[in-house]
Amino acid sequence: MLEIAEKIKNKTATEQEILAFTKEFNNLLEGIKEDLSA
Amino acid sequence: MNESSPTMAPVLEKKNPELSEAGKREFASNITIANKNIQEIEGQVSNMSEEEFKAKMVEGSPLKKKLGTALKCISAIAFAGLTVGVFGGAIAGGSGVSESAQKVVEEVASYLSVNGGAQVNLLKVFGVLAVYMTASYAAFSGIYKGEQIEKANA
Repeated sequence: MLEIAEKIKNKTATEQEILAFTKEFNNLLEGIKEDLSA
Repeated sequence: MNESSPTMAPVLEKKNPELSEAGKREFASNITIANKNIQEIEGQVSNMSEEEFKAKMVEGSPLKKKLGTALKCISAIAFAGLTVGVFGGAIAGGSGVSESAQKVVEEVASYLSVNGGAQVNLLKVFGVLAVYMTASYAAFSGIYKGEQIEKANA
């Protein structure tokens, strides 16, 4: 994830990577919500 | 001097690619979910006692690791938002985006530098993040409607 975030930061990410990133980012946020409620 | 000469063309700043129409729809959907998730996380953290929060944020805990990754990702995107062309202009150029992005970068850096990551600092991050997400989404919504692409890429 951080690798794609760096690519976005450096503006070298592809559309596929950007969309995969937003999806993975939401999975990560879901995990945080679960950990907080555990 | 011939201003129309190709050699005189301005050097364009590097940008992430402009998303396809299908990509913009998927992006909008994912960002909407992310915004909702971030608000929910902020609510969860706000409703926890300091002791509960500290117990979950012990060194090496899954929560601490995930939060660290999420904040680094947010910071990288906010950093890109300080210039132009984040997601091919999808998030950039909106009123207040750069200013709030700057605050996000600063607050995340400050939070990550605090040993243990105090709850109060995390809530401060969420505070600036909420402003950034709102400004970004407003900018994205306009661009998505095809109204501000030129402005965003200017």
